[in-house]
Amino acid sequence: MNIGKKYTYEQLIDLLKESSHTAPDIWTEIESELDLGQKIIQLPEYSAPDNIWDNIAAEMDAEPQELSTNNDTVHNKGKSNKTNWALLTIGMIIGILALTLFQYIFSTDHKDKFQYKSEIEMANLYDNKVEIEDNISDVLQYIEQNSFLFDQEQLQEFNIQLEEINQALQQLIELQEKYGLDDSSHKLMARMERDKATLLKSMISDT
Amino acid sequence: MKINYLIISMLLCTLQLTAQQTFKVTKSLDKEYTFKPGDVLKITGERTFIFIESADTDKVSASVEVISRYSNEKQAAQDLDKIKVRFQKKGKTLYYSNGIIIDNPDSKPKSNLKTILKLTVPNFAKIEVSNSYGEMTITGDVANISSTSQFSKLTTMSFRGALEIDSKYGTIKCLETDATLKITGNRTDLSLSSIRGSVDAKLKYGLVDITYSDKITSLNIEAEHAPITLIVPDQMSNNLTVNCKNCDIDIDNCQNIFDEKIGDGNHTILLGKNRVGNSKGSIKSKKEIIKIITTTSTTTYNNN
Repeated sequence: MNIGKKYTYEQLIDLLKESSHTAPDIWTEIESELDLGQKIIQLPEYSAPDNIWDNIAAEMDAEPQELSTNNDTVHNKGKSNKTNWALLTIGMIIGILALTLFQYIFSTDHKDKFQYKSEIEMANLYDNKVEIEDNISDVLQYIEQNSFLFDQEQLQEFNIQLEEINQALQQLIELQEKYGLDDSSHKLMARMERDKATLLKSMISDT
Repeated sequence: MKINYLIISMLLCTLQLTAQQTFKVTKSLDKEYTFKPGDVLKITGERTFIFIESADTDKVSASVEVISRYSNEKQAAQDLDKIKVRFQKKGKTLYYSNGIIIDNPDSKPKSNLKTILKLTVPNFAKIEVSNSYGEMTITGDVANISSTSQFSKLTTMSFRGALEIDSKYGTIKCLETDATLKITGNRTDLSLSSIRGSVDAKLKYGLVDITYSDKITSLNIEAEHAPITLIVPDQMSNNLTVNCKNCDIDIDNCQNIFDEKIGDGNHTILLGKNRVGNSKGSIKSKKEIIKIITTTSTTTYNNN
């Protein structure tokens, strides 16, 4: 490989394959210098005392006897566990009830006591039926057929405004159906219809 | 002659008889809550007629009256119970709400229903109101009120404080008001008269009527598709810039102009007397006319 010369990727791979290196066998040299083999042989040997395993066997043999003598303890422990759970449940129920009572006593959200009154008035009520004439489909069709006369921005603005007015009308109708009509709401309805008419007129006048 | 009187009285009696007999059933409630500086009163209503006045007190006093009118007393009473009113104090916030609860579509009310809420609040009160299809009237000194409303009318009279309004399809009237007003209106009419303090308003698709006086510290109006009528006194100490983009300014009845520029779709007028004096604000309109009228009668504002 020449330093400074450019090689392709494939050429580099070939060069690497040609060069094969092995590590020198140095472990034998290290072992002989440290004389490890001899030293391992010279390490002291240890063994467990003979009675350990006898003791273990004796303990293992004695376990069933110990278990049978603790049956009552286990049984009593189970009994007290059940009692603890029962007490805990009762305590929680009492706690929840106390908390609810505490909140009720100190809460300002009591059921308010209203005073009721009834009287007769000689007055005409508005009929709560709401009627809207929605016969603008012809106008909308006309605008759609002549949409080429408007620029996109104008048409988009028109659609947004019409949608806003229709949504507002719908909201007002829902409120009127819930709460009834009066003079001011009729005027409001009329105003919305005027807004819609002005919007449609402004579009038609541009055609 | 006697026969004439007889005929007339018979006619009047007949007219009265033909008028519909309507039952008016009401339920009313009075509440009082301690209110400290830093507390907030939050009102959420529908078809609520709210009256707010201030007093030198540390309490909020509320009087609620729910009214149901119908030709049948039993139906009127049944519909009355569908309106739920609720007061709740949680920490620093006092909540009020009223609304209609309909269990099923068949139990829709037939009566004419409304709720009247009268509040007396401390001067330092902070109030947040959300209302639709109703009205609100504010008088007195109230530190801070913010209102979000639709299909509602809002009136301020002899009001001092700070007021922020967001209104859709409504009417706003501010009379004899010394306040910081911030108004956003969509399809809302605005009327300002005898105003002190500052006014910042952005309006679309409404009618704007402003009676200007030099007692206004700052007036900034931005209107779009909203015709403006501006009434100015013949003697103006401060300047006012009026600009109309893609529209005209009608100055046939105006005498206070000292500068005018027309060009590039803009028509700009400088109103006032003193060229060197500071401008106290601007009125800008897009696409709709501004009409300026000079009046010789000055509006007086009594600072009581």
